[in-house]
Parts: sequence; structure tokens; C-alpha cells
Amino acid sequence: MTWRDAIALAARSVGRRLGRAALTVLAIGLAAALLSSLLIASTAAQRRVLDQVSDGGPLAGIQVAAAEPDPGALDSDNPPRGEARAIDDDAVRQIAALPGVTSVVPVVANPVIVVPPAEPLPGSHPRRRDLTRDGTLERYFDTIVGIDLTRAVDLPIVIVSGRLPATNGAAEAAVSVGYLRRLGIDKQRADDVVGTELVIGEPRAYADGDDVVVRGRWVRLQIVGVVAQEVGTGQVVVSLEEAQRARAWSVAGIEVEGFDVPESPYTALFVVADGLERVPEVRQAITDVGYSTSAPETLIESVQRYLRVVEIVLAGIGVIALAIAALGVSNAMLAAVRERRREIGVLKAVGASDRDVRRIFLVEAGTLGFLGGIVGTAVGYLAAQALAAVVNSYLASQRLETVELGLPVFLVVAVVAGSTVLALLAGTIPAQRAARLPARQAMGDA
Amino acid sequence: MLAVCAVAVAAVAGVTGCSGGGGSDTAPTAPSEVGQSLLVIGSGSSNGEELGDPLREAWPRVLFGEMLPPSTTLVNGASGPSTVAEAIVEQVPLADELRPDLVAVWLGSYDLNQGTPPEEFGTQMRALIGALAASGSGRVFVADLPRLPAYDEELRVLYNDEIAAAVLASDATLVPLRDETLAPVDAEHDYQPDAAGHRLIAEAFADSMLSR
Amino acid sequence: MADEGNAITVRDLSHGYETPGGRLTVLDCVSCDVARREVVAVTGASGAGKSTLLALLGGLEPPQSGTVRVAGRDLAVLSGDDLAAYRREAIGFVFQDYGLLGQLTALENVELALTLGRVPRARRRVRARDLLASVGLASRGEHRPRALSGGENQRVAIARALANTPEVLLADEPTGNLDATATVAILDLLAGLPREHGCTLVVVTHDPAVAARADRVLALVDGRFGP
Repeated sequence: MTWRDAIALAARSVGRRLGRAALTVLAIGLAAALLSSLLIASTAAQRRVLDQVSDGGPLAGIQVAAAEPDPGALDSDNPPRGEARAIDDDAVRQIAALPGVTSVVPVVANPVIVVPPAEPLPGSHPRRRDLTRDGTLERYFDTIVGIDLTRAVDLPIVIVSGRLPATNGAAEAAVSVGYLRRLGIDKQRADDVVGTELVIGEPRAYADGDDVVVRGRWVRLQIVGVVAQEVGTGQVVVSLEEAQRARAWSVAGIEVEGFDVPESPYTALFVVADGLERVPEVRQAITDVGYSTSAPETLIESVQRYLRVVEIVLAGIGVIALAIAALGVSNAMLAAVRERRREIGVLKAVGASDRDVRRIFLVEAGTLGFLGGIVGTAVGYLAAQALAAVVNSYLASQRLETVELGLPVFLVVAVVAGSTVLALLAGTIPAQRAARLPARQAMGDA
Repeated sequence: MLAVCAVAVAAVAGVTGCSGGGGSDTAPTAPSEVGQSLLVIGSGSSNGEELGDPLREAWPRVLFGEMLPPSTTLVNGASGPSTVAEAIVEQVPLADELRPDLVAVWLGSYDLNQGTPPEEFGTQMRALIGALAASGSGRVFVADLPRLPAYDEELRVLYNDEIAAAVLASDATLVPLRDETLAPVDAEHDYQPDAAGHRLIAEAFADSMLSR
Repeated sequence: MADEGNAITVRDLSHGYETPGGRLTVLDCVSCDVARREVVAVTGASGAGKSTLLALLGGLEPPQSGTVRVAGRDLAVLSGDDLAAYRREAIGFVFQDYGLLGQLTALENVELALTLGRVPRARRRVRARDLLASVGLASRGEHRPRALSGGENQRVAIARALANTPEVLLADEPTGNLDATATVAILDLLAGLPREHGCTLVVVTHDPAVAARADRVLALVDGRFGP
């Protein structure tokens, strides 16, 4: 008997005892659902935690400071920096050409004076210190951070509301939750600031005798989004070009204590390595080029180790459930063998070998496992989605980034294959027992 | 350092003016609009000196924040007690550097105060407008002097004639304020217009800039 | 050779079972020959050893002592897969309760023997249809056993038994579950098989009417053939 014929016969046999088969499939399905939902949830949780660790950026992200490396502090996530060293286009090109580097995103920061809208937004509660005596919102010193917005995906930025500024040079900005705090707006109401305007003044200092005169280059920026965290030290994210214009204006003035206009053309670089495992190698290479780096690699590795343990425990729970379900398969198959002694005898009487009978019963067990795996993966995915809906409604109410649950192909394959293999193992003894039944059973018990 | 920061904030705030009051009520940014640049040349009045909230009430900030397209950038070169002669030295170089699309000039208050002869004032004004034209800047708008209690009315009329003549001799545009009467910010600072006066000046510049 | 020309040769066949009360001898030194295309009825009371003889002839279990040669094969030396192959290729079984698989249609039940022999699907389907037609069930191929009458089920069983063109057909009380009309029809069908299909037929029965249709009757009494 071929495998194909055995599968066809097994399918018929499963279909004939639909009730029992359904219960067995359900048992495996529930176990597989538990396993897959736990794995889906744990994968999502892992991604979320690592996102938090990496501030939403790539795990293999490395920050390069406009400073020389401090000798003897290489194995730290955040080593102390050495002397200032400018990052120019040559340095960017040199670092981008290093082996293991997939992306280099320059960052330009510049001090600014931020003038928020005069009147506090309706329903906001600014702190007293952020208001003028007239009750209007006070302007304040901050930093604008310019990034290459076409490569924002490579940066540790999480959007809470709206979007990042457009890349076509429009006068747009995204603000951080720190800006919301200044305006006295809860994070949950981040949408309220989207569409409003702020004005930034980029300072240039002049010497006027013994005095210092500061002139501003003023720009109106429409707020198009809110990001979860401060970007570097600044609350305002703009296009790289805007930040470069600001820096060009400011850097032409005299040096004044308090206005920390960066001397380096690029304030920092965000380098993405080709995988977490290449981060140490890339950091070393950047150090050799002559720049100080920092990356949460050690933290990420320990978090990953911890999450791996959690994943193993959760998978263990699921596997135990599957093992119990497999015992159910074994029990159901043994019952089937007991009930079908006559049928087995007939099969042998018409020429089935022991191998044929074993194959038929193994395929039956495997079919139950396979169906259970598919049902379980589907149910598990739906259960995880339901759980995610509850969790996401909470996260959304807290203005936190929501969780997105995926159904990775490898998980579907693993759970379905795992269920099938377990059921095959569980069906081995019943199948062996069926194969060893004497052919004489065809004529009734001797 | 805090003190330095505070001084710097005051300086920057003083140099420029205020943002448009409305925040979310302002005109939406056209996504692909190419921004124009505005350079203001003036004296302390153009910094909103003595106003309660110069950041929001000085005429350059009203013009920039409320009346010109949102993509406009502003550099306010005005500083302290500037005469036209001083502005040529201290502020016109900014036009050389920035080559702004728009230049708004409002000077004369301190010349009046110092009693600069009208002919000399006119010469300086022609020099200033000429220097701006030579800088490669775009359109130049020059406002004349409104009535203010502290101004010598006879001299004001003569100054305005000089301004009109200087503008006429160039490609600049005259922003007429001569028939306007502004109230002083207070009795002690009767050379400085009040917030309403600043808004009126801004409107006069906006009318000229947007009508061309 | 003693079995030349015979489909079945049995010599000194003894067979028994261990029971709690001691060894039970079911067949005691039995010998017989069945010629090709002969129809032989094996009769006897319950427990006389009829079914055991049939099981031994069909290779459902190996003989404990003596010789059993069927279709040129010495069953005493066959085991495992060889015995399965023997059942598949040389023997056709017809059971009292038909022995059909309830989950398969009549056509699929007939195909089953061919399926086990790895006959290609298209060929076995044609063969099964022909066989069903030959037993008068051409139009019932897609019916499952529970949708067929006893007589029809037994005809399906006969068609299945003939699927591999066996040399010997073994029938165990083939009319035991049938009414009189169906019994006559099945007996007519069975009686025609040696002529139509060239096979030898051994029918175990305790029904004298069935035995009467055989060429020869072998009566088992206490594990031995009677006179």
C-alpha cells in the first residue's frame, strides 16, 4: 500500500468516527492553541521589550559621538567619551564603508529658543513655571534634532501620534512628550498638539563691545507628530536640512557660554550593524576609526537571555499540554484498534501486511495531529489577537505604542509539524499493536 | 550659566518679537511651499522695546507670525538705539550674508531723537537702500514715520519726504505710515508705539508686501 | 508430486489451541486434495474445525504440523510478508458477515485488495467496476455497505475476493446472514465462479442446501474428515 493510499484510507477512517476524531483533534487543537498563543504572545512581548530597550530603533543600533574614544572603556554599553572630534562627511563615508555596517544615519543638533503657541491649549494644565505672568506659554531653550527623515526607520524613534516631518523640505516638526509636558498636556491627548505651530529661534551671538547681542533666525514649524522619547536632548525633531541651516546660522556667531553650538558638522551618527552579533565588531572598527560609540548591546543580550528563558518556560507549558493531548491521541487510537480488530483482520485477509496496517494507523494518528495543529494554530492566533485587543486598548489609553501580533510562518510550520510528530509518536504503540493483531481476527476471535 | 542663558533669551526675544498668537488657528503649512526669507532692519522699536510681550507684539513678529506665509523665515537685525548710519554698519551686512527675499526697513526714530539733519538723514537712507540693493536682496520695503507724541512733527514731515525721495530713487517700495497716529506704549517711553501701533505697522508692511 | 493438478493439498494437518483447560486439538491429522476449479463444501457441526481449516488454507495463520500446499505454495514455510503476499495474490476470502469496510464505498472495497497490491489507481478502478458489473452491482459502486442489502454486500465481498484473480476462493458461511432469495442468488453466483473465473472454491457451511451445490462435500467431525 502506498503512502497516498494509506492517507486516503486514514482520512476515511477519521471521517467515519467523526465525533471521536473531533474530540481528539480538539484536544490537540487546544494544546496547540495554547502553545501557539503563548509563543505568539511571547514573541510580541520580546519584540516589545527589545523595542523599549532600543527605544524603538534597530537592536543592532550604535550611537557614534563626535568625540574620540576613551581608552580602556571598550566593553561598556555607554563608555565615557574622550576629546571632542568632529564628524564630517569623510568620517560618515569611512564608517559607512566598514564591514558589517548596513546603515549610517547622521544627526545634527542645534540649540534653539522654542516659542510655543501663546495661549495654552484648551484643557491643558501647564506648570506655573512654564507660563508668563500674563498666563501665556513661556518660551524656553531647547535643542532641535535634525535627522535624515528618509531613513527614520533606522532610528530609535517611536511615533505616538501623527507622523514624522515630510522629507520634501516642508516646515514641519515632530515634538517629544517632553514638549507635551511643557504645554501641560497628557500623553493620551498627544493628538491635540498635532496641527498646531511652534516657532523656533536659532541663535547667533555677536560681540557688541563688551556685551553680547544675540540675533535669532526664526522659523515657524507645523507640528505633524509626537514621538515617545526625547531624541537625544531635544524635544523637536526636524529634517536634517533644517537643522543644518540652523547650525550654519548659529555657528557663524561668536562662542558664548550657554549656547552649545556643536563644532562638528554632524552631532552624532546612528549606525546600524548587520545583526546584533556584529555590533561588537562594528563598534571596535568605529573605535579604530577614532570615534566613541555606545550601544545597548550588553543590555539587549541579557534581556534576550532572560526572554529566552521565559520563552522556554512558556513553550514548555505548551509542550506539556501537547504531550497530554498526545496521550489522548494514544488513547483514542488504542480504542480504535480495539474496536477495529475485525477490520484489521479483514485488511490482512485481503493481503495487507503488518507494515501496511501500521502505516494506516500511523497516518490516522498523524492526520489527527496535523488537523489539531492547524486548528490549534488558528485558534491560538485568534486567542492571541483577542488578548492583544484587550492589551492594545489599555496601551492606547495610555498613549503607549500598541502591540502588533504576527503569525510567523515558522511558528505555523513548527506547531503543525510538532503536533503531527507528537501524534505520530503517540500513535506508534497503537499502530504496532494493530500491526501485530493476527490475521485470524478476520474470522472473528478464535 | 543660567544667567548667561537668561541674558541670551532676553536678547534673542528682544531682537525679534513674538509668535503668532493663534497656534492651531494659523494657516496650514503648504507641504511643498518654498520658504521666503524676511530681514528686518530697524531700531529698538522694531524689537518691541518696552512692550509687555515683545515676542508676541513687536511688529516684525506679528508680520512674520500672522501675516506672511508660514514657511517664511525671519531674521530681525534691529538692535537698540540704531540710527540709519549705524544700521548701515551693523545690520546691512546681514543682507549681504542672507540675501533675503524681503527686507523690511523702519528707521528714523533715533535720528529724530538725535536731531540728524533731514538732508543727512536722506543721504544715509539712500545709502542704506542702495547697499541693500547691492547686496542681492529681493524686494526692499521702507516704512516712513507715523505720528508719535515724542516726534518733532516738522522734522518728521521732512524725514518722510527724504524717505519718499530715497525710495523713489530706487526699486524699493514705500510703506506709508505718515498719516497714521500711534499711541505711545506709556508716557515714559513716548518714542515707542504701543502694541496696537505695532500691529498697525505690521499690517502696513503686509499690505505692501502682499499687494505686489 | 502428490498435488499435481490439485489447487489444494493437505497432508497430516494438525492444529490446536492452548486453553485454560489444556490443549484443544481442533484439526487432527487431516489430509485432503482439492482439484483445480473444483467446488468443495466443508461441513460439520460447530467447533468441528471448519473455520480453522479455512484460516489455515487462507494463510491467516501458519499450520502447526503437517503440510498445506495451496496454489503451489507450501504455507508452512511462509511467514510475515510472504504470507500477506500469498493472501493478496492467490486467495480470495468471502466472509459470513461480508467483511466490508464501512468507511469505503462498494467500489473502494473492491479496490482495496488491488490497492494493497499497489495496482495503479486507474487500472484498479476499471477492474473494480468490471467486477461489480459482473456481480450485478454496476450501479451501486458509490454506495457504502450500510446502504446495501445483505445480498448486495455479499456480492461486493465476492467481487473483492475476485479482484486479484485468485486461484482459490475461500468462503466462510457465505449465506449465513442472507434470506432465502439472496442465498439462492449468492449460491448461483458462487457456483459459476470456477467456470467464469477459473478459480477453485472451498465453502465452509453447515447449510445442507449450500453443500448440495458443491462438487464434493468434506465433512469434519471432531477435527477429522468423516467418511
